[in-house]
Amino acid sequence: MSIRPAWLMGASLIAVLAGIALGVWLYTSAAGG
Amino acid sequence: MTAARSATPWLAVAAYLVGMAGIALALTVTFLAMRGVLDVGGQCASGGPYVIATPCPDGTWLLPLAILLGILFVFLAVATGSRIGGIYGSLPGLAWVALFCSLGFNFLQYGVAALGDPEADGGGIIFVLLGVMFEVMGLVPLVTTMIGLRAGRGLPLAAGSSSVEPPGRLDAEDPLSTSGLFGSVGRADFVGMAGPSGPGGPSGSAMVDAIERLTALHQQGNLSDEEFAAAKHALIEGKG
Repeated sequence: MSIRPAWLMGASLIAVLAGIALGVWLYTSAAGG
Repeated sequence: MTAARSATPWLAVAAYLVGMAGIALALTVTFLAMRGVLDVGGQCASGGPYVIATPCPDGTWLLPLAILLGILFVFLAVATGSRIGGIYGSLPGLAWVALFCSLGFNFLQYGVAALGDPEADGGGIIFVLLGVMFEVMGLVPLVTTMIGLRAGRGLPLAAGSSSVEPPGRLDAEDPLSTSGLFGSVGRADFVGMAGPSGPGGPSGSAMVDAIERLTALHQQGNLSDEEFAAAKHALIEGKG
């Protein structure tokens, strides 16, 4: 079991997308509330 | 294989992913909060004893918080990405590009809209100039890094930036080298990190770290059996 570069790159991309989604949700809920 | 398991820095990987998600979150909130402020003219205020001409839109309080947390997440991602090795220590540097290019886009969009609006009070040109400046600040490091990566195989980085770069060899193909927005780290620096490289060679724990990293690279397929054996042999010989 070792880290495959492609695996970690994909996980990084998912983490970034999740962060963007969380940021949009956070701001819109703060701005709307 | 026990050695491979112990060589995989799972904690660093988890913290790295949290850091990358946090950077994206902070940048997104900064981008959106800035648009909220630009929507009310680019200036606002809240609190204090004065009569406020332009109150800040809801959610603006997130802006300073996002900037502060974003910086902390960048530190987290760089530190843990460096622990993982390879390109991952440099990848969080893209946050710089994303920050300036996205905020520059905001300035350009609102500036161009104000230029076309006859009722605007002439602030559009300032926003356009700021937008161009931000785009330049975001894109120049990206372009120079890409050029360095393309041209830097076996060659030092551009002579113009040698004064700020560490004395490492920029080699994208070398698994023991990393390069990017935070400068380049060559093989010599990597080996140097393992401990003093004098006649005594690397210290015990540093040598174990170095061998663990070599093992991880070998497991990932970045090092052939021969390269792995030679590098390990060189490390152990250095110790003697």
